Amino acid sequence: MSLLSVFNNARSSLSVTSQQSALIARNVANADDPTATRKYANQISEKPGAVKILSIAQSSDPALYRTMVKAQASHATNETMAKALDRVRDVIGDVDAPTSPSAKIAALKGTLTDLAASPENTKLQRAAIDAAHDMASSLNNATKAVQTMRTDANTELAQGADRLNTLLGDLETVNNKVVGGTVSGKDVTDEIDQRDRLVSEISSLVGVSTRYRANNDLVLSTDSGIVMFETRARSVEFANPSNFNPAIPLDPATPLPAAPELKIDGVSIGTGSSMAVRDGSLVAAIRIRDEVGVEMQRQFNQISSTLAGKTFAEDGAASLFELSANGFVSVAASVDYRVGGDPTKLRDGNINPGSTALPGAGEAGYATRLNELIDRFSDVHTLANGESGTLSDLAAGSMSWFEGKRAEARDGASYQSIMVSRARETLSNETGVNLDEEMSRLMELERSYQAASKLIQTVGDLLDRLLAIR
Amino acid sequence: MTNFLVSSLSLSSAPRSSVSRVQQDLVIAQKEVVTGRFADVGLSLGVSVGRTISMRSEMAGNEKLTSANTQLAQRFATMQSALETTSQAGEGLLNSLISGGDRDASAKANKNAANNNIGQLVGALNSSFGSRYLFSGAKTNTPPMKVDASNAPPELAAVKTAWQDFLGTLTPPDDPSIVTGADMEAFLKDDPSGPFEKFFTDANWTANWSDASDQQTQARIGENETITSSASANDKAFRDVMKAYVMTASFDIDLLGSEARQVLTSRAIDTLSGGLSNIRELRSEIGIGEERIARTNEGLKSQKMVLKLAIGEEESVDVYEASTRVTNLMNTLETSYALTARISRLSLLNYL
Repeated sequence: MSLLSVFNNARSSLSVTSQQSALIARNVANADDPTATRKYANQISEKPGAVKILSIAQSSDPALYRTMVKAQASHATNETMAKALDRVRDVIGDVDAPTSPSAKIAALKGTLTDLAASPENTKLQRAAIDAAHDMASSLNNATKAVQTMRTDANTELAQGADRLNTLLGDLETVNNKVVGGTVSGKDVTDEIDQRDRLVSEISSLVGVSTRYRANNDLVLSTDSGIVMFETRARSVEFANPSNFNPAIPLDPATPLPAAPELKIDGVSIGTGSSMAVRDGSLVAAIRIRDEVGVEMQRQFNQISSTLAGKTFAEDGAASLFELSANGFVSVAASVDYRVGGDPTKLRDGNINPGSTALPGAGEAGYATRLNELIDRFSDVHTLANGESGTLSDLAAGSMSWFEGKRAEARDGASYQSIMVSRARETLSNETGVNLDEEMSRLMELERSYQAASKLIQTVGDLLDRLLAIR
Repeated sequence: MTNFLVSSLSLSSAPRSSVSRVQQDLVIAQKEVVTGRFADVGLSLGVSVGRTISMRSEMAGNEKLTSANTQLAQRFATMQSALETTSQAGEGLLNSLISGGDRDASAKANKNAANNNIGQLVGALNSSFGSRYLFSGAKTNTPPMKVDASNAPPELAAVKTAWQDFLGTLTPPDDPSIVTGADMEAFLKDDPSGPFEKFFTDANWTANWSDASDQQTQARIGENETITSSASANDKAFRDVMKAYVMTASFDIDLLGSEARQVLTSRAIDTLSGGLSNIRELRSEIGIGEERIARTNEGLKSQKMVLKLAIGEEESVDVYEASTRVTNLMNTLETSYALTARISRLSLLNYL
């Protein structure tokens, strides 16, 4: 070993030290990025005794990463569902809100009770018509809220499809860089971070499963196995989102208007599909649009048609309340004093001109019809789906169902949000940057830089001494 | 690869995320302390929320029924007091007729009293409560008794004419004092086609005396309980009382001979006491109605109490617990703030 080789080794040490410092600078810069991982150098000893940086690696924990991605997907499902249901509830109101359909049913029955006690009182007749209007608008508002919820879900699907296409396109670019870089032995850690970031963003739209092939090549599929990315990004289609019609026909036998389907690589991800995706905000949007929204509207339709066709029926035909084919309720013009109708018809019957006149009707104190109407509020109706109950039971039942769904989604969302933050924290602890560590590493490097320079200086002095011999 | 078990990011973000969680909980706990019920009842009860909704609508119906019943009870009370005055007036006349109906002095007084009583009866039957006439049957917006400009029944004139016509058939005509007992019997004979009785047949009463309806109104006092809530001026009780008053007031009882006066007085006493006992029956019927309403309201009141308690049990939170929670959360929040400040100051850089 010669003095000159000491020079060489010291020089390699200086070069490695400066590369390591550069790496520390990179880590420090990324300390605030939650998705960035800590980079470290793989250092080897070269013969004779010199060092060299072979490659840059990053800290990673694939199992934790998968947990986080999965938790994000189910969090997005529950959160989307809970938010949509919260918006509908804002319209329907709390259980004690005077605006909810069940409160309006009670209010309508109440004004009829008042009117039955004083059937000749024109103010009370008008009040009963007003209560009928409130009843109709409460049901209509609920219907509108459900329709808005379904339309919003459809819009979210359209936007989600666009976003998914963009993300998959970006993923293709980044993955190509990763594969190319890995093949040629370049530092691709930043690209891998970026790719992980993209996958994590995709996972909040649809649940994903990841697979890695040779040269760090990523294959991304949905949690149900539909391929989204393999060498090339697959297309996400959502045809004609503007064609969506949110109305649900009153008659359950009438088929629903067709809703556009979201397809990845030509396969539908919806619940009817053989490869239905389990998690993600888009899945929640499909459920809101095609299941929860439809079921909810059907329940409101059930209330409307019972109210119009049973409780207030004359000879079995609708009278006080009239129904449109899409479940909207209105008050019959012939009894509506606001448009010139005769409110006494509420007392005397015969709102529907085709119905048979009631014996004894027409006298101011005639309360038989009103008492009959009030009685009908306690009638038990059996629905096509086997449910049975009075009108207010139906309303209370639909609220129960709705609040049950909402509580389920909210509970899921809050549980999953803790899961996500816990997974993120653990992942960050496992793979993230700690400034104190970097700083102490920097001190270490400083010392070794000092030592290497001291070596060079000493060897230089030795050589000087040698050259000074005459 | 790292020897450190925590990253700088999670170290600084951990207290922050716990602060936001504590703040959310604090909002909920504060609302619960103030209102005493769950901050979001639907979320807390989930599927079982239907129970409190049903109970609420039951309670709303219950409150309405109670107020409608109170109104009904007030109506019944007004009817009772009108009937009570009628009974008293009728009994006064009856006593006077019994004690000395055929004496000259009292005959005149009785005639005047009967005249006043006609007015009283018409007034009592035409009494109203709110916008509603109480004795019209189902025609609650029409006063039951027809009256002319002087507030007397218009048919009274026809009855008087019939009497004058009858007096005209006697010889010498138009002298009440020559009417014999047999003449009086013939005039008052109990036959729908008789010269006097024809004015008080069903058909004539509803055509010329009364506008009331025979149809009664039914009111609901409980969920499945109805009650007849009106009375009709067409009731036989009122007709008989009116008949007796008219007999006493219109047939010159003070001018009649004692035989005829005797016949008239005894007929009047019979008719009046029959009518008054029918009114008593009517009053006791109304009394039964009043009692039923009182009992139903009692039931409704206790039902409402039960419902209120049940809703409270479902929806209310333990306020004591909630306020302890607020205190704890506030402590946690303060600790978090202090911790955040200390951690942010903590760095190796300060010592290098």
